[in-house]
Amino acid sequence: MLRALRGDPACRPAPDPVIIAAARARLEAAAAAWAEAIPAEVVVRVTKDAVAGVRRCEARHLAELEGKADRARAEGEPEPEPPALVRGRLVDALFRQVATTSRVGDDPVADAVAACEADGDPVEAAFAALGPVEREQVRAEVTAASATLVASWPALPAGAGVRTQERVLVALAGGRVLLTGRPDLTIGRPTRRRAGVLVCEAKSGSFRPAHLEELRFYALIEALRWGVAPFRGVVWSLGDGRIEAVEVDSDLVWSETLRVADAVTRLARLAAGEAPRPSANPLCPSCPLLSGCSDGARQVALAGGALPEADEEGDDDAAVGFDLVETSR
Amino acid sequence: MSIVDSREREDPEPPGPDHLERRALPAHLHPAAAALFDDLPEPVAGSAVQAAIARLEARAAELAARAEPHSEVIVDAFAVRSVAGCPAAMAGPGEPFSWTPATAARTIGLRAVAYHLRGASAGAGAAERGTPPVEASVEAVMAELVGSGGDRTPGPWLAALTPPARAVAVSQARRWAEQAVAWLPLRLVGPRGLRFLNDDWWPPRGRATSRRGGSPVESAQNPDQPIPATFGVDQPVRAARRELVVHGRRDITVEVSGLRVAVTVTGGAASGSGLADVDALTAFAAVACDPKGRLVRVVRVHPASGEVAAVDVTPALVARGAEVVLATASVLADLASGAEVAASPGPTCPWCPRLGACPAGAAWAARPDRRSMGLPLLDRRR
Repeated sequence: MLRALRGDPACRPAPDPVIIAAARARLEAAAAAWAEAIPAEVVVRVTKDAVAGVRRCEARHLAELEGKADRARAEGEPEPEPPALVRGRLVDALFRQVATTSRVGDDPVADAVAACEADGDPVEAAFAALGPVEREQVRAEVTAASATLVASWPALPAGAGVRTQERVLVALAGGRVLLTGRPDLTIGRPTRRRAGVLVCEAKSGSFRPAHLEELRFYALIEALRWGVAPFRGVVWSLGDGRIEAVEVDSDLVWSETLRVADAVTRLARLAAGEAPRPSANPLCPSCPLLSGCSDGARQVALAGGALPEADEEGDDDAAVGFDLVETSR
Repeated sequence: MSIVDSREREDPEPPGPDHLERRALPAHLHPAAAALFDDLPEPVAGSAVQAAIARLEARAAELAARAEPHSEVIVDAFAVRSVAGCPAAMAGPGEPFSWTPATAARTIGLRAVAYHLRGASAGAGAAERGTPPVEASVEAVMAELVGSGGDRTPGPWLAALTPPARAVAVSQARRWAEQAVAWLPLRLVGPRGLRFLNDDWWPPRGRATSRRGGSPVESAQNPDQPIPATFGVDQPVRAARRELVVHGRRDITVEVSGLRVAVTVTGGAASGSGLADVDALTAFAAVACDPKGRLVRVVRVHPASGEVAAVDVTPALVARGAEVVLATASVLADLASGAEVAASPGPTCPWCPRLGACPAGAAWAARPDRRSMGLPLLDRRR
């Protein structure tokens, strides 16, 4: 694990202030294109999930935000969270605990719940709301993840500069657009000759390529904050034990800048009130807007699938989603 | 005044994960260095400070007439930012203060930074002095608070924590301290030039000190409780009526060549609501409490965004500080007397504890053009 975290120290790139300045300029330009059309009190928040979601399909991204907002303000008993989300919150808490103290008590779930509560995250209710089978499965997975964490997380040298769940903000367009992220763990600081920051994410499930996109996003916002890119990003998937790393160099910073700038343009345009543009993508078959989406239907047909039967609610969704005439500025 | 040479000579870098680098940061990595040391202005003249104080005193009589007898209006950074956000949100009894990992992080982290830089606690002997890493400093501070902290420190709260909750407190205090050490070039300043956790209470009450601090141990004894002080009355300070108390606060005061810079380490981005008013409050409180007027700059460091905001202390800033105090005190006096205060509804309304009693906030929260993450939602139920 320590080798995975360090990578090859001899290969760490030198600070490249030119590429960082170019990245910021590119992102500022993306935000500025629509900033004046965004209502005065609105701040557009750009997270790793928003970048991926809005680039996949703007219409579905908005529909998912709508669904989350509806659930948040629904009266009565809240809907149970998916077990994977509850597991993720618990494992995040344990990872922070292990990175801080190297220890977990006899009951890892109890430790994780107590840590979340101390941090103002009421995870206990979400855990209790799971069905008995799911609850036991989450308990087993969290316990296994805890054992892996304790057994594998290395003792870092004193003065390593460990920060857990450190919030990062990058303000664009005078604060109208905000890139935000909170990596699980950040270690080190930039130094005179070489990049010196490592970003580490622990995932409670199995590895997915999207995790590498998350690392690239974190690498970019860390680079913009410090003025120097991190040297490496590591994702540790506790579900399957994989450790994957991305080496951060100027090429990665620039390619990620272009990806995020594209998302910033889309999000700022939506925030300004422009209609969302649907995009066919591999997730179309599970999209709530599918029944009224010609692009999605074509995508499903190309993949050899059939359109699901449209129910009344689906039709309503479609009417909302695809009264969405594509416009351009 | 420039620090180019000393910057190159000092600021040894804590090691990364592999202990490979111990060299100083290049200048472009330390925007706070220029804000702390370069081109410091001359102190404002005492006459400008006295003029601001005189204006405050003249208008404080009107406040005194509106305030409840025996009441006290405390103007601090929290009040200034709250009034700048939504004054109505301060109506009614607020949540009582309680220690949490978030509220304790600064208190613990700041003392840990002092230990880290000075080598040991104030009571340690020479043999114990060294340069403990930040994590060891945090542990030392927490142990000291648990062992000998008073009721007004987080000591009793820390002592009662379960191991997982304590780990959360440790992680947040470490993060605070690591950020302060990373973003502030404090090793460029001799230990005698650093003061931690200075609070300015103005005007002073007898010997109860207008300026506390200089020692993190001393100043942390009472980090969050106001020292009673009086203002705006003709009677001696022991009089029953106390109308206005000004509380300025700074995390670290850096002294270079007799000039002082107030530094705070602040969450969020530099464009946060009310922060410029807090800068003015800090400047006014500091120069009002220091007859020599040595504070010449107020610096905010925002580790989350890497931004550094600096403002020179000028007669205009001092006057602005007095105006901020009066404007904030006026709203607080209105609230204390039960008068209606106009609400400023906004994005925080859905989370406001007063939402149920605030028609303006409720209307804002229920408006049809809802947004999430800044994006307009399409309300399917319409």
